[in-house]
Parts: sequence; structure tokens; C-alpha cells
Amino acid sequence: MSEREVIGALSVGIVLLLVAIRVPVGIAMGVVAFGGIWSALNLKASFGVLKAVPFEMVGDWNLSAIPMFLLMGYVAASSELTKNLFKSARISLGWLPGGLASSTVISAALFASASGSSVATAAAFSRTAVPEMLRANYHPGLATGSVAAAGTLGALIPPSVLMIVYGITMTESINALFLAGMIPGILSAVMFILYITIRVKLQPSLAPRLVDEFTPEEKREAFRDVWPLPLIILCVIGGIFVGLFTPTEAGAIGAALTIGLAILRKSFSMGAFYDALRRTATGTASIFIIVVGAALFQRLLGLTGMTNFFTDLVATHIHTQLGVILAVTVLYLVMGCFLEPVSIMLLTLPVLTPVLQSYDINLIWFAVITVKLLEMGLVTPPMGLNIFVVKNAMGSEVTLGQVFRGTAGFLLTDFLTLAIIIAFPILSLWLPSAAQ
Amino acid sequence: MSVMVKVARLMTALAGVCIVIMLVLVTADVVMRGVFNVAIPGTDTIVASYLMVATIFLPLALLEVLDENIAVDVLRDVVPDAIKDIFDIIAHLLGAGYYALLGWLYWHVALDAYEVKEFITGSWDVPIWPARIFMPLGLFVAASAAVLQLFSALRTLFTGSKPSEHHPAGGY
Repeated sequence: MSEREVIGALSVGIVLLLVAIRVPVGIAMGVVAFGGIWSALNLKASFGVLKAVPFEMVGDWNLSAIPMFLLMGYVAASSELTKNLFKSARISLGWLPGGLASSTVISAALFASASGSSVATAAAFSRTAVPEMLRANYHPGLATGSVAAAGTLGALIPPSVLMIVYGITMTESINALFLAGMIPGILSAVMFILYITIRVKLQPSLAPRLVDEFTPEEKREAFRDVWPLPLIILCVIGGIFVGLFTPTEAGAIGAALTIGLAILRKSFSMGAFYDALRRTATGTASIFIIVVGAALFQRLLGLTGMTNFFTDLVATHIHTQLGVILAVTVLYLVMGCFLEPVSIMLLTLPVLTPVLQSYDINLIWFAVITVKLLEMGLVTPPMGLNIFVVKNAMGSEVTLGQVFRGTAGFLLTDFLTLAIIIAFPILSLWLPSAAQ
Repeated sequence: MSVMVKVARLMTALAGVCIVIMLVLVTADVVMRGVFNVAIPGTDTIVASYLMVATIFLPLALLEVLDENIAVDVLRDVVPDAIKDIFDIIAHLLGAGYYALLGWLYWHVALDAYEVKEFITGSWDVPIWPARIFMPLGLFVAASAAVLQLFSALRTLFTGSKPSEHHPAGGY
């Protein structure tokens, strides 16, 4: 190892240490990048990088997709547009074994797609779907597990903020990334429903069969109110697909549509809108401080030769694409236990990119794998964020252990789904190539 | 501190205004293009150079004040109070230094831009030198907020009072 490589390696260690003692992720990466470049080269180079990199990053017009999609999500989540989603899913799927849990999966997938936030989805459904399942004498583990797991579906099903961040960092087409996530996202939802159905078939006591009596009037009413959310998602994705607008502009269109429909359906309040704006502003800033930190850190790794060192290191130990993918899987699952998705993505991609390129791994396919893994991290112990959200929303009605155990089956199902996504790249790559 | 909170909220509100303008501008641009086949000139420059920069940098102070930056709570949650304070001191010290340094660099960028009256050529020449102030402004106020947080962490360390609770940042 040369002196510079030692500095590079030390920098990685220091970032991890700082992150562990709760220095904000973006600040830790930025500060270490500055110090690292200073000691590896000189102060002038360090100032140069610090002055150039953030400037290039924030001047990119594609970044505006992030606040727009965040705004769309916050407005969608706070408006009544999501109201009858669960009820109409229940009318359609209630007859299945464990039908309420399956209805949760479908409606949460739609909700998560529009809101763009796994955590918001888990929170919303903890308050609506879980109590209904408990009232129907569903096992608490199944009830809470299905909500915690279904919340994670939104990051694959477009529009997805995680995909945008990936696209910007890796300079991949956001259009292609959105389309790539679609089939794997739907597959994940179908696998969850299969799991619930089989599980309840084998162990009927988990979910007593429900005899729903809905009058035709109730059914009509439920379906009459359910269309706004699917319509918004369809417009956003369809518009990108036929080239009416770019994925960057799609965020603004989606947000405008959501606000427009909320006003039309009289479920729009200025208070909720101000709150959505505040969350959008701070959410955007907190993502970008990490994006900028990661970009600076990437420069440090390049300048110290750490990037090449790491690529060589991987090359001497791992010889196949599959080997690299499996190593990344383990890495992400471990990191997923402690960090939230955006941070993991931006901490690792600078190091992984050259490795992936040297193994000729398709970066669109890899995006799908990455996002799937990061979302699985939201339901793995000890730090599965979604699990805590569900637990907090439910208070003393369920124990943390029950939620974790209830989610475990969904997590195993996710591993199977992940294996299918890895084994059949065509699932991720077919739509993007068909669109071209 | 209460003045700082007000300033931070005001700046975030300004970022909110920029988000609304962005929403209207981009939507109008797409609609105009689709219906009349004319684009609004300079949309991308205004969005990228003014609105996005304001949206990213102005709320930094509020993130600092509310301690809402994305960070890992696992270890901090389990250590004794005094160690918590030391963690906070390190975090705010680094935050203050980082923001101040970036702010100082971009202050000079803004001055240079002002002197040459920087603009971006396009369908019409969009002057962008006034937008250069958003970065140093947001960064300097964020640095001040971090310094205040640093003092409050030092105070809790020496008076032995309870360190503040942290709100885990949301996932996306």
C-alpha cells in the first residue's frame, strides 16, 4: 500500500467511526474528504475540490425531481386521496385466505408508490389496516408484519426517490430506472400475497375466514373514491413512458395532479400543505447534504487510489458477477441493520461503481437489486425502521418481538424474490429496453 | 436560540416558496409545450440555478436547529449521558466547521459572480449572479446554528443536565 492508499483506507475507517458516534452522515463524509485530500495532496487541492464539486452537483437540473416527488408524496399521504384504498382492496381480495393481509399488501403498494416513503406507508397502515385485522382476530404478527413489509414495496414501484438518487449518483437514465423497478416491484407484491395465502391455508387459525357483507351501495361508494391515486401513478408513469415529459418534470406533474385532485375532492387543507412544504424543504436539504458529502468522498477515494486498490482487492477474491452480487447483498444487509437507505446507497456507490464496471454488471439491473436490498434493510433487526414505526403506532397492543417475528416470513419471501430478480435480469431489463 | 429558530424557520419558508414556484413553473412549461408547442424560455436555468439552490441550502439551519440531519442513533441511544454530550459536541463542532468552510468558499464565488455579473446564455440570457448568494447565506446561518447547538451541548455536559432526545430521520 502506498502512503496515499493508507490515507484513503484510514479515511474510510474515520467516516464509519464518525457515523457511528452520530455525526450526520453527509457532514462526516464531507469533513473527512476535505481532511483526506489535504493530507494526501495539499490544502490547495482540498479547497479546489470543495469549491468545485458541490457547485457542479447542485447546478444539475435533474435534481429538481427530488423535491417535486417528495412534495407529491407528502401531499398524497396527508390528503384523503388514500381513504378508500384499503376498503376496495378488501372488497376485491377479502375472500382469499388471509384476505385482509393481502388487501393490505395491494393497497400499501399503491400508497407507497405515490407517497414514495416506506416509513410513511407503514405509519399510515398501522393506523388503518392493523386495527381492522386485529378486530377480525388476525394473529398480531401477521397483521403488523404485513404492514411493515408492504411498506417497503414503494421504492421499487415508480416513482421512487431512491431510484432518482441512484440515477443521479451513477448518471443512469432515471426513465430506465423507473421502468426497471416496475416488474420486480409488482413481483414482490405478488410474492407477499402468495406467502400470506399459503401460510394461512396451512395454519388457518392465523386469520379466521372473514364473511364480509358489503351492500352493493357500499361497494359502489368504495370504488367511486378509489380512483385518484391509481390515476396519478398511471399519469406519471404513462407520461414518462410515451415521452410527454421527462422523469425530472414528472415530479412536478405528479405533485400538481395530486394537489389538484385533493382540492377537487375537498380534502386539501392549507395547514397540511404548509407542513408538506416544510417536510419537502428539509427532506431535500437532508438528502443533498449527503449527496454532496458522497460526491466529495468519491473524489478522495479516486485521488488516493483507493478506488483502484479496492477494485483489485475484489478482483483477487471474487471471480464472477454472481460472486460480486452476493458480496454486495451481504454488505447491504449488514449496513441495512444500522443505516437508512439513502445513506447506505451514497456511502457505498462511490466505492462499488468501479468494481461493478470492471465486472461488466448492468447498472440498471444492479439498481433494482440495490433498492430491493435497501428496502429489505427496513425490516431486518435490530434497526428495521418500519418495524419500529409499526410498533410505535400500535403502542402496547403488540410487542416488538411479535412484529419482528411476524415480519420474518415476509423477509424470507423477499429473499426468494431477490433470488428471482438476480436469476432473471430480464425481469428488470425488459421494460427499459422495450421503451427505447 | 429562539431568534435562531425564527431565522431558520423563515429561511425554510423561503425555500417553501421556491418549491411552489418550481412546481408552477415546471408544470406550466410541460403544459405549454404539450398544448401550444412552446416552451417557457429559461425554465431549466431558473430551476437549477435559483430555485433548487435555495431549496437545498436555505433549510440547512433548520435541520441543524431541529437536529433532523440523517444520522445513526444506534450507539448514541445506549451510551451514558456524558458520552452522549461528547458525541453531540463532536457532531456540532464538525458541522459548524464544515458549513463555515463551505460558506466562506462560496461567499467568494458569490463575490466573483457579482463582479462579472455572471449570466447563463440561452434562449434569453438569465443573470445568475444574484442566485449565488443562496449558498453562502444558507451555509453561514447553518454554521451559526451549529455553533449554538455546540454551546448548548457543552452546557448540558458541564451542568450535567439531560441531553436532548433525537428524532430519527425518516427513510425514503
